[in-house]
Amino acid sequence: MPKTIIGKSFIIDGEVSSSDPLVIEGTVKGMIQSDDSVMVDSGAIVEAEISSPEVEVSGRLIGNVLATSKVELKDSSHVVGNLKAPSILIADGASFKGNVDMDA
Amino acid sequence: MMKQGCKIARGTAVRGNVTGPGNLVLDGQVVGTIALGGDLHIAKRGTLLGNSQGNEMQIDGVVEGNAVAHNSITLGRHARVQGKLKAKSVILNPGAQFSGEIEMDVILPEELLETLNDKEDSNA
Repeated sequence: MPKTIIGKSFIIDGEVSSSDPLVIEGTVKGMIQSDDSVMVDSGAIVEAEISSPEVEVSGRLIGNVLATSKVELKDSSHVVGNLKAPSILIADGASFKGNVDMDA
Repeated sequence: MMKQGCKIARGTAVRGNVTGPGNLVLDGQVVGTIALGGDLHIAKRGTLLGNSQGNEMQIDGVVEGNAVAHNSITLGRHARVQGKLKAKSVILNPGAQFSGEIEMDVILPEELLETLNDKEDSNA
């Protein structure tokens, strides 16, 4: 399966929509929409709304996340925003500020 | 694998600007500008609507817009390009479709410049 990789030090200013797995190592500002998965790598800076079935964050994220499957905040992540997903994991060491909505 | 690479796969569309120090492979779609410190490869199914800038460019896909390369721009046999190309050298391979303007670094031989100047003088 081809992957879209936004490499280290790359900056995207705008909208990204994808049906491929998306790996962000650089910076994305704007909006991210995926039909597959989004991974915000450690070192990445994302200032965007993310909507994707699966979202995994190891880097910095400012923006809301809407996932239909799950959201995972790894121990190295810094996240400010609201999370909405049926399954949400926040690892020990992750820093997070925002609302969590698991649709319970 | 390229160092500090960026790849936009086939099912991915970007609307906005892409900037980076390294290389980019575009197999998806970009509507906006691309500015790179490295090389740009627009693959066979890649589409760019907008201007691009990079060190070296290999275009095998569709481009509408102006491309400026520090080194060379190569249009492969599947390329369909409309716009202006500016580079040290521009290579159009058989099969490439191109409509627009090409600007390369041209250094005319000095003798030719002299004869041209003489002609202008005698015309004056």
